[in-house]
Amino acid sequence: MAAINRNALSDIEKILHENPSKKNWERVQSALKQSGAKYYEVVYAVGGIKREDDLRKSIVRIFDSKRKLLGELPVFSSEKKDFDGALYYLRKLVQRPRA
Amino acid sequence: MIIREVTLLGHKDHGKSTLIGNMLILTKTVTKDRIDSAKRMSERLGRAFEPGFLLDSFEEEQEDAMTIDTTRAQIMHGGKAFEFIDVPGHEELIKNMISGASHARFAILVVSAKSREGIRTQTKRHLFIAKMMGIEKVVVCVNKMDTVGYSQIRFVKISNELKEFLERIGFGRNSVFFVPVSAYNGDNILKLSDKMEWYKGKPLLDALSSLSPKKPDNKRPLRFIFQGSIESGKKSLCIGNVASGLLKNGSEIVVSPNLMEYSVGEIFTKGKRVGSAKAGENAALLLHPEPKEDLRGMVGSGKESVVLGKREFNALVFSTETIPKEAKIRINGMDHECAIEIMEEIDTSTGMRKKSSVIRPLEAGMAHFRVSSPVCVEPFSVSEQIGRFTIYKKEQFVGLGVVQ
Amino acid sequence: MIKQNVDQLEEKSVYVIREAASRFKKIAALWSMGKDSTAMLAIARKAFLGKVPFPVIHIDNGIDFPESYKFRDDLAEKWGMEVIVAKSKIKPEISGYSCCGSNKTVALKKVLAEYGFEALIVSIRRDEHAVRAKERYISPRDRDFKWDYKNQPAEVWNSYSSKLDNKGHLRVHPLLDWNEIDIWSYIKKNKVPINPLYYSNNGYRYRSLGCTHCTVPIKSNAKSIDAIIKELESTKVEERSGREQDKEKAYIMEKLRSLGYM
Repeated sequence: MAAINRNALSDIEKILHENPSKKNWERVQSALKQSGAKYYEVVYAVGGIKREDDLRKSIVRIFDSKRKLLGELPVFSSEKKDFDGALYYLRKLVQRPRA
Repeated sequence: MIIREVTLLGHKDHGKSTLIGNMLILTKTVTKDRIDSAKRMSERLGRAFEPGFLLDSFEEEQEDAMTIDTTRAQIMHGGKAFEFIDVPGHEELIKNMISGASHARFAILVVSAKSREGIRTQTKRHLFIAKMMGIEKVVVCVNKMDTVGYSQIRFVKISNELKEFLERIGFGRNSVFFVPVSAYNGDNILKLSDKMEWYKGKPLLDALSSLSPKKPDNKRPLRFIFQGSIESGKKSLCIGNVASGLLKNGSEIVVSPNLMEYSVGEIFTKGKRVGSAKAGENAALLLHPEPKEDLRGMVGSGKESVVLGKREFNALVFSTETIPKEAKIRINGMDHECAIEIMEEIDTSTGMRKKSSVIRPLEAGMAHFRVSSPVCVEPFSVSEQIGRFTIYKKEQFVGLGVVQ
Repeated sequence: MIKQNVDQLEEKSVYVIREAASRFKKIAALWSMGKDSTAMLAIARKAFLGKVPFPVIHIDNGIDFPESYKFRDDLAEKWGMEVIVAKSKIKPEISGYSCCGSNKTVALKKVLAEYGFEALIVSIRRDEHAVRAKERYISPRDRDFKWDYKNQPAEVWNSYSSKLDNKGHLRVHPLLDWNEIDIWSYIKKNKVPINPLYYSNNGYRYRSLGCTHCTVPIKSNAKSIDAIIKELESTKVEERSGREQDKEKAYIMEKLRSLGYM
């Protein structure tokens, strides 16, 4: 297993925070696998999600198998008029166990 | 755990929902969450806590304190499991009562002992319908005993009047029990109440525990009711239900009403190939030769006891709307157009019959049915699944019938 | 909670599913990847000798658990199921019920219109909620998806409803009689694959699954189905206690259902 590479996830972060299109979410899949990402934890905007906007304010934290935080990604995919939740793209990950 | 389904019967406001509600509380069946939620609801409506709220869950039901549609509650007692089907007692809601009661083999009739209440229209009508639909045993709860000072005289009076009616409509002495209760206070429900020392019978839940469900009909003649067909690989299999008897692999069956003969090549139950299917089981069959028509609605039987297709038959009918001269009957998933000729009307509150050409709504009667295409029926007393049907006029439910 | 005779329950469910499939050619099932709808599909597979002969609809709001998505794709492939993913939007006026309700309803309406489904198999159980106890095995919905709960058609014996009008559809409820514990017994007996979220992870597991937004796990150490069953046998809390939406008034659920979704 390759050494945990923080740089790999920061590249993913950059790509997705800038343009979380469906295409980009697909593009980062193999990099995500190689980064050693294992757990996810969604942090929703305060007050819950009532509007698209609240989903944009939410993030999902990514951890490695040792529960070390690797980075934070958006929770949505967005492309022109199409807006959707993006947890489908994290389907290889497992929810972070509670402490 | 086999569940014994018990339907409640009785006139409105005699205490059906309260009885079940309190049974849930006394047997500690209901979770604290539910009781709390029902208490909050009662407070919100400005009422004292009503055990019936544990069941009545429609907003309208709780606000108006009435049951609108059937609901169920499961309770364990004495090592046995019961499912109580609560039904509305209002006349306008009879079709909901029928829907609920149609699933049960036993019934609890709740009749209020309170003065000016007592035996009412629905009390008897519900019993009549129950007998028609095949309910085997009834436990009569003479309720609200607390409002009549727990009087034995009142209990005996009501019981005797009902005994007469019950016998007239066909419930023998061994199929009826009488228990004096107070659903609200809990008297004689779980334990014998010290307020009615004159009562020497069992408390309600113990009386119910002594009711045993009918055993499946494995020894009766084979009746296999076809539902349709499914594809499995290249084969086409017929699916259906064994209503009674035993279907063996390799046996020969006759499918009515067309009286075509087939041999059973393979039987599948629960997804696996088996040697036989027994009463109550759903099966997929590989028949030889492969049927050229859709067998849905048809009945398969052994050669020794073939079901004949009938073009006409008599049936005991209960109507929720006036029975029309032309209607369609629905039996085992198939609709048949028919002409109906009414012979008698039966008053459901007395059991009295009189010659009539009309059956008014909410009454029963005897009618002669003539169907456009032959249908496989047998008397209800012989074979329930092919002896009962529902009646529709233009997609509206107007009544039910049991073949005589 | 009473453990019923699972064989008997299965027979009834098989009968209802086969009956619906025989009468309605255009039929589909809703699948949430939860234990109930997955068990229902396992039963359907048995009923149709190894395959699910109708499409399966997943109403996806984009923020379902990643585990659920994976489970969906893996099982769809394993069982050869045709999955229709209907996208719903998160745009509620109030959170909770309205979120699950109105937007999923919109997505569902679209799918029904597009594919022309006449009947929809939905895996609700009576013991889930008091209001569900009022449901019929086959229940009509009008063209606006409304459930006329105060005026349901009669359902006597095995005499099930037909469509209300040409634009409406029918809801088929094969699991009505099942209790939560029966579903687990069935899953165990038949080795039905289930969403891993149901198993305990570090002292918590999900008893009921919605989407990531409003589903909350319960304290549990149950790591196997046997353990889950044992936990249920002694539990005093209702199943949906982890679903935030259920803390709202009971009859909102009914309004929700009458709007066309659960």
